Amino acid sequence: MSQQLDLHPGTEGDVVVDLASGKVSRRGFVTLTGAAALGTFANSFFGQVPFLNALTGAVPILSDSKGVLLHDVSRCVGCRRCELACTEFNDGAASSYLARIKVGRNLAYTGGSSSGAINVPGKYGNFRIQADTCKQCPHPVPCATACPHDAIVADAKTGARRVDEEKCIGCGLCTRACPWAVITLNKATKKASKCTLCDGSPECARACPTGALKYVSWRDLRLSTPVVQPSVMPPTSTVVCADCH
Amino acid sequence: MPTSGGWTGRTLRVNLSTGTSTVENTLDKYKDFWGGAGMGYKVLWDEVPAGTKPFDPENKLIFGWGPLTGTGAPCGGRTAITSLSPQHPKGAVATGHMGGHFSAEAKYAGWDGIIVEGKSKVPVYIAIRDSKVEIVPCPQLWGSGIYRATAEIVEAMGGSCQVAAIGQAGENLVAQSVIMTNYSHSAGGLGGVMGSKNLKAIGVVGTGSVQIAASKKAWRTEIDFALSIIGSNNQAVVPNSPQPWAEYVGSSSVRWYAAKGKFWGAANPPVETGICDPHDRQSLGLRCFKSDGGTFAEQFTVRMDGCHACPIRCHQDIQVPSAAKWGVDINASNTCTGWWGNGLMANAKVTAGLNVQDAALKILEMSVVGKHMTDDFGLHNNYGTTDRGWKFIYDPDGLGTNKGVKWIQPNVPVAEWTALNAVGGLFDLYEKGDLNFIKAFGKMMATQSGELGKFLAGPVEASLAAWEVNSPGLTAAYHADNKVLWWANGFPKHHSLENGGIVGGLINTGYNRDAQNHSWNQLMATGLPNTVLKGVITNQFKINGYKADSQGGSYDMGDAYDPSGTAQAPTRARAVAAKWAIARKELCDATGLCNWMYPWVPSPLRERGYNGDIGIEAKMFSLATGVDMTTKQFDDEGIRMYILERCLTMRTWGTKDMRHVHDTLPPWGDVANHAGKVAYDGSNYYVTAADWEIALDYYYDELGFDRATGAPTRATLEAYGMKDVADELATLNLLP
Repeated sequence: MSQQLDLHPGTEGDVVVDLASGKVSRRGFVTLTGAAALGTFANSFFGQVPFLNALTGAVPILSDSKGVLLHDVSRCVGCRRCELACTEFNDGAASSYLARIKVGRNLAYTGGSSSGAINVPGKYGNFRIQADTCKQCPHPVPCATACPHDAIVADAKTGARRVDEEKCIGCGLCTRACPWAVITLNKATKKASKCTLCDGSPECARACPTGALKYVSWRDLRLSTPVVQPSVMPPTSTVVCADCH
Repeated sequence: MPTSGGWTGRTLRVNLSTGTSTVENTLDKYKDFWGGAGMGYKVLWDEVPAGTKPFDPENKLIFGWGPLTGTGAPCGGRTAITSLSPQHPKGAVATGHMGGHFSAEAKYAGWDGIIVEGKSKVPVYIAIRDSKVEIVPCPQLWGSGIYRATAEIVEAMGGSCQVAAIGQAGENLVAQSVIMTNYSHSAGGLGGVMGSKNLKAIGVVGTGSVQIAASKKAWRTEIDFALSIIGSNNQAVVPNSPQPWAEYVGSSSVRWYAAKGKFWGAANPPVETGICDPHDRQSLGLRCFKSDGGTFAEQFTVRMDGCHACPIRCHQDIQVPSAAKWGVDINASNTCTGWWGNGLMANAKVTAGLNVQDAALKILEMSVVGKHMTDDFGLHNNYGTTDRGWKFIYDPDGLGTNKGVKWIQPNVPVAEWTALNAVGGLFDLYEKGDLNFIKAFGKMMATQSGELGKFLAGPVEASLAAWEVNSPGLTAAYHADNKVLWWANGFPKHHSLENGGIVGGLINTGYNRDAQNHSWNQLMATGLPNTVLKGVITNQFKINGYKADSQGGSYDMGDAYDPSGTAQAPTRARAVAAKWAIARKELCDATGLCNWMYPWVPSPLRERGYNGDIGIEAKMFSLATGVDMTTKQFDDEGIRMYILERCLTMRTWGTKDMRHVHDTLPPWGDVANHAGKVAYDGSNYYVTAADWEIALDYYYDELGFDRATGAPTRATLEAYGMKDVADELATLNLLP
């Protein structure tokens, strides 16, 4: 028995789940679209469905996030209170490296480049500071696709791609898969640290003293934001992706 | 002191002579001094013997911060760097302060402080990546400016790297030099100490965390409260233009400039600062808009800037395309006297023949050129003293005639005098209003070129003494000159009698450099009416346990407040205020907080009767560290640190008679030197010499110092747990 689940009524992020096997795959999506919606049911259990197992060749299709963080370069003052709020109020410890929003690494010279810094972003350049934020990518979600343990799932309430710490083993593949390098491996807990949108009330946006950070309805920020690292995918995922693409 | 947060517990020691680094347990060794300058005093007291000079390898340089560094405690981004000071005539201890993000990054790397000792054989920088510490030879960077050095080190260590570096001025052992970080943040006076150790820079990358002892909920509640009572820069709590939410309007000196129609004009798109209701958390960073170039500079403002964890932003980032014609980056950032060029050339014929618009633009270009000259060479303007000193020796009567003849010509060789006056020479550039003067002036200082370069680069008192031989009376004239604003004992005034009367004066006696103390002075420009402010001051001290002076007398602390530009006779309340201000400066340094923002006596909140909370630092300290502390206990910790600074000064100086050699009133502060002026009539801030002595008596009583000498007594030292210090002073005959 297979059904198409409307996980977030009002969004277009529908996902197909094979209720018999408990799995979702792109191949499955191709063959099963058009099935009936079961929105209420899905909202209650989506996070627990074992819909991905990259080790066996399946690839997740996550519904689109409801929201995303939008950073306004013209308003950012580089105080990094967003990084602090992210870690202190979520983790009980302050950190820049583990923050799910990254400002510190772009503070002096965006991207760490020092050559001809005049009029490139950064304090030593034209003063504009870009915060790196999670794009809450639509399918294919690089971090979720790369995870061999189904540990990156869509949050039932917000659709944020969040780490299921029960499943995460700290392998760090997701940190290599994210084109914007906004997932960090917490060496102490051996868990990936990734933006959760704070249950719909992001601490970083609340902490921003200039309104440079906004929590807005999801929009695709991928093409308007230069990537900062090549997205590395495990072969098991890329082989399956090739079936459809 | 058992703790479960705040500190990392590890202090780094790097010996450049041996090329080794070691780790110390912070709280085993520095538990009574926490960090910052307090840690610096402790290291210098324990390890640097009397007789050591600032540039000796035996001198040490302590980069300090504290348990609130790297946490979300607002305005917690300061670094205090402590050493024997090349600027001071006796080489006494002094602290330079810088903001930026260096201390937070170092904390995330796992360090509560960095002690640098010894001297490298070759130029090096220290590369810190978490617990991994390397000493990296960098001959290619020696001779380069701070910008180039920073760029190379960031490229080598990664984009997150924070760098503290010196320029050519520090390399050349210029006394008026800085240690610089984050493009616009500099610690004054200590660049030469780094240079003497062949240390070009420290780069640090940290991937760790700072633990908060309290629950997430309790910490979040306290931070929310802090952000509700925070003011603008210097804790100004009233906007300086009418706002729909505001009961009062402050004067133009109140640093709350935001308003509708005021834009960061060079932002793309421009950002309007707006009405900034204090309850609107998303406009905290807009309210300050301290435009040092005035209203004209607003159109060139890309954004406001500042330190780690500070929402207020007192640095200004501007983009002035026309500055390119002077061969500098059009982007520039700084604050206050850091915009050096304007002060340096203000009296020249810079704007002659220009229309109003072009004149204003050229003045702004002066600031841009001056910022780059200062911050790349790594020069210190000594709170404006270098500017004022230059004008004094060049044009002492301000009449524009016989420039340089009185003080400079007798002290420089004929060839140098000729070159200074030649076409394209320094004086010629100045007279033509050519901004290349600023660059030439900076290069001359940074390289100590010629006798004039040496004079300006050197410790002021030593420079004056050197020229006194050929120019009798120079030193006395300099000290007495109201425009130079020299305090005494080797340093300029910095919010002294003119900002708080007796309280400001006592604070300015406190250290071996300009006081860098804003605890009390910032009450001068809150924007609140004096009657309201006095009530708030009285209330805040009462509810935080300040009930009586050392003699058991009760007082209203509001009565210690003298509005800016006025002074009244000394009282015990004024002595209590000075002591408290000193404690809070030390505590800001030792915790990592900013004394250009804290303490928060008033707040912008009408519903709180404009009360701030002078206990908030102690509360945040308690929550972050797990060590519970009342406001009074917290303040006592700061006094312990200050007393050790005092003892260190006495040991270096070789005297216990601080009263007569250190705590003296400058001649311009004595009303007797101002014909026609009457003390305490509300028209001036001068005091009588007799009252200065009374003020010192009261001040010493509060601090537990001996009245005859101004030195801490044994009883006081032992009460603060410093019996060992008392014993050593006794052996040196320095105990009263």
